[in-house]
Amino acid sequence: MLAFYISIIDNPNDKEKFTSLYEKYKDHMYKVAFSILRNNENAEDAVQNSFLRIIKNFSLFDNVFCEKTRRLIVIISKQCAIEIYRKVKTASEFSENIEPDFDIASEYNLENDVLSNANRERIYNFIKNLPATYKDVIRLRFVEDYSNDEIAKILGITKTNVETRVTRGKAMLASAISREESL
Amino acid sequence: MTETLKDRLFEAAITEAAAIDFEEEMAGFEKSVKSEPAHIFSEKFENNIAKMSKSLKGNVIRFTPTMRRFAAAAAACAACFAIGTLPPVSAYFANMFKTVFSTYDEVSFIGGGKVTDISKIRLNYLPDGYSLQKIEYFQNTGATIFCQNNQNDIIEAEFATAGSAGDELIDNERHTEREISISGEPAYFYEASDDTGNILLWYKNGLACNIFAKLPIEQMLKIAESVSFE
Repeated sequence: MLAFYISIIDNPNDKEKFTSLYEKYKDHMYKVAFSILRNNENAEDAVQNSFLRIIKNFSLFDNVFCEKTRRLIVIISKQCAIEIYRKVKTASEFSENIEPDFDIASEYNLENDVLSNANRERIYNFIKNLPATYKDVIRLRFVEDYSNDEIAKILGITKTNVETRVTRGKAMLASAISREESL
Repeated sequence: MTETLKDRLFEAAITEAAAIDFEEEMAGFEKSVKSEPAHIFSEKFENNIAKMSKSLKGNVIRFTPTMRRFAAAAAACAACFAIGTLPPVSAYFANMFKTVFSTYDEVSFIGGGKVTDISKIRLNYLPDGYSLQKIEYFQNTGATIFCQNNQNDIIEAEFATAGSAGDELIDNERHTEREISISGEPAYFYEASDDTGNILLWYKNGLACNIFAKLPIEQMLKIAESVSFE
């Protein structure tokens, strides 16, 4: 219930903070959502769902204008757009675009020197092509340093699902590197 | 090299690569925001956001008496209209009108019946460890009773005359709804799938009533049944 979440975050500055967030990021959020959905109405729905999710996690938004807030808002908007995309598109279309093809058996089958420049470059290239479902969880976990609990709340998924996505994301990267090296 | 160390190094490499990739994506979005004209949002979108923003003071939206009469009529019209034309699922349950959207349920309360004196509302039962913290009144149309235990768990009970009560929005992705009854009166119980807290909604004596708490249904019902209105 909105009022319930609001009651948790309620303090004299919250309304002002929410208004600032809204004014500063609504267009940004719309463009992120539109880049995925390519439809005005669906993109607006995604932005609205994003604001609901922001309200639910209001304590994470300490400073409206900092870079971390901007990045978090982009991830939330993107994930809300993907959720709508999932509902709009058929499951098969979606799985082709988003779900990865990776070999879990070769998980962590890496050469020792994972930090060599060549491997750094490879990891960057694989991260770039990682499906958003996994990439955003990896960003929240490793770049933004959120806990699995916080990520679960931000993305509206279970903690187990967060752990699975992190493990699978890492496994996909390891698998892709191993495959490339074996060629 | 041990597996743990290898894993840490791998995570460090992932972090570095993910940060660079994230920055590039952000720069791309930034460029798009600056180069393209700002989107003009629809009226429906702006209204919904305004509703969220107004609610940020922690309470339901309040109407003037004229607006209250208009709101009751509008809610009834919207209900009839919604059943015939809108894609979300809508249903009446006594004086409550529920619309199910993709991520939340919206429950409106339609006024009617005897209106209770808000100042006389009391909770006569609280679970062990909880005590009354404060009661906030909103003009003569609403009251919120706050209770808390020493683990800082809260019970929040809100009462507002049905015509003046704003819509209640419930996150239906994290709550499962059940239709139940409180002393013979119809009620909705929303059970949380995580530790968000459960929600009980019902209509009584012209009042929209709700309780939020991290308590099982039995305790929530006992609290609701203990409410005295006189």
